[in-house]
Amino acid sequence: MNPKTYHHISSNPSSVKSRFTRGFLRAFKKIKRQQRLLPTSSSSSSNPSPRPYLYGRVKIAADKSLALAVGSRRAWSRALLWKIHYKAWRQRSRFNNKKKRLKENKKNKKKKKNDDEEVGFRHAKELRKLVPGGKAMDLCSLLDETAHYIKCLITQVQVMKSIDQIYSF
Amino acid sequence: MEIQSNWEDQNDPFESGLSSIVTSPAASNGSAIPADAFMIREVIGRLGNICNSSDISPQSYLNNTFSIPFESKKLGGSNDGNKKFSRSSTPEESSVSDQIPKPQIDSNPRKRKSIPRPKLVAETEESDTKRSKAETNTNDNSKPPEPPKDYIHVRARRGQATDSHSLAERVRREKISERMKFLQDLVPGCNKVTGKAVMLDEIINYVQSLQRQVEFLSMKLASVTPRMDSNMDALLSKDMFQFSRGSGQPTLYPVDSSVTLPFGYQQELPLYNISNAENQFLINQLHQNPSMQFPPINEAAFQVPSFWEDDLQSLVQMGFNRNQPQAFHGSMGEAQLKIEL
Repeated sequence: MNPKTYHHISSNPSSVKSRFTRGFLRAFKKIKRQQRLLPTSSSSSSNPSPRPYLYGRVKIAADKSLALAVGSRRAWSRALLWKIHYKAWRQRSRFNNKKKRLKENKKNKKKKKNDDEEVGFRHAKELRKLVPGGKAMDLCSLLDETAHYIKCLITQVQVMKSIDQIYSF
Repeated sequence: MEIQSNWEDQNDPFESGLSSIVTSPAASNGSAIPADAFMIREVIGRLGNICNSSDISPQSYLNNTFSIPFESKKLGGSNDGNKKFSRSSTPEESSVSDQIPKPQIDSNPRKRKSIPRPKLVAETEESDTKRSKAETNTNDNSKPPEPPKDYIHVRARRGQATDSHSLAERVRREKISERMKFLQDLVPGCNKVTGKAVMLDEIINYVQSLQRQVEFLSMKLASVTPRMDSNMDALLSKDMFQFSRGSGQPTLYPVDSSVTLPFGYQQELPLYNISNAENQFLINQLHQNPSMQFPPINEAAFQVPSFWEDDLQSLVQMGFNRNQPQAFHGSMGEAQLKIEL
């Protein structure tokens, strides 16, 4: 890829959006190239069998490039990267992760219980499930991370939509 | 070195007060000194970045006693918002120990992960008698809980309990409500809603819909025919960035009209749309490229919608997690992820 084509990116070239776009495009093209080389998938017919497999890879590539674009500044991006990495490792070694749960800090647990009362246990639990890395955070930082996560998700959706439009022509 | 001597000259009135303060924490809590020193240096380092001055960098090598008066003087000169701290410090001499101010008192929360949980020290408005080793705060009635050190000096409001527990509670509650307000601005359609429970419901729904959209789009992209060549790649990189600058137009784009989307937030998001001019531009580009084959692409686009609905439903029923293990069969796995990096 010619780096000269990047010169008219948005005014902030190192923003999350442009970083994510670059990373995701790179990964996506690699996937497509590999798909072309595979003998099973035929490009002319719409064969549904390679699709779930591909979809998983594309989704993981998207999540991973988003988390990499954000970097380690945010807890949710670190948790997301760790989850992807760990899942790949787990897949290879067939390791059951139920045995190895991260031990939570006792202080953190108590704070979480007190905090969650204010906003309702049910809601807090749901939110923790949604946001990556939300289980081990107290409510304040959970809300922080949620806000940033929402912003990044919005940019991710925008970028993927635009890529999709270009590809679907 | 000349800078150091200048600071010493200017800050003689502070020094006597300072030495008393620095020794008093040392007397009471010897083990906390290294932590304090580290935190002070860290905070000063950060504030140095804020002040954008190059000569703060040797700060980290200075002794504690000298660094603190430097900080107060420097910030008083460079930042107007901090002047009140230098003013408020003089009547409260014992709390000069750490004059790290909050440069902006707005809803932008500062995260300091390396700092341990602070303890709150309460104080009423009228009497300054209950002064422990603490840092300065604003002179307003509201509390400023920015905690670079172990103790936060919080002012209780009039007629409210000065119990440290309730103060801590109040601080936390206000932080939480501040962040909820911020989230309210972020999530569309939450302005009318009040109350934490309903707000959280909306937030949860929104995050879920965004995640579902990402999965849907990745499925869509995975099904795109890979009939690309280098020209298309260049086109993609060049034009997509041009388009992405213009994102934010709230009109639906045509491809979606053929597929029924089950997301409630689809209309409210700033949907991206290629305007007619850009459409023409793209089509021209494609026409110029003779190696592009148009019909198969269009076919795929037409076939795909009917396929998507079935697949989407089945996927939703199965749960998306089940698909991911399939992605790693054969020789795929860690090596592939590294390539994708």
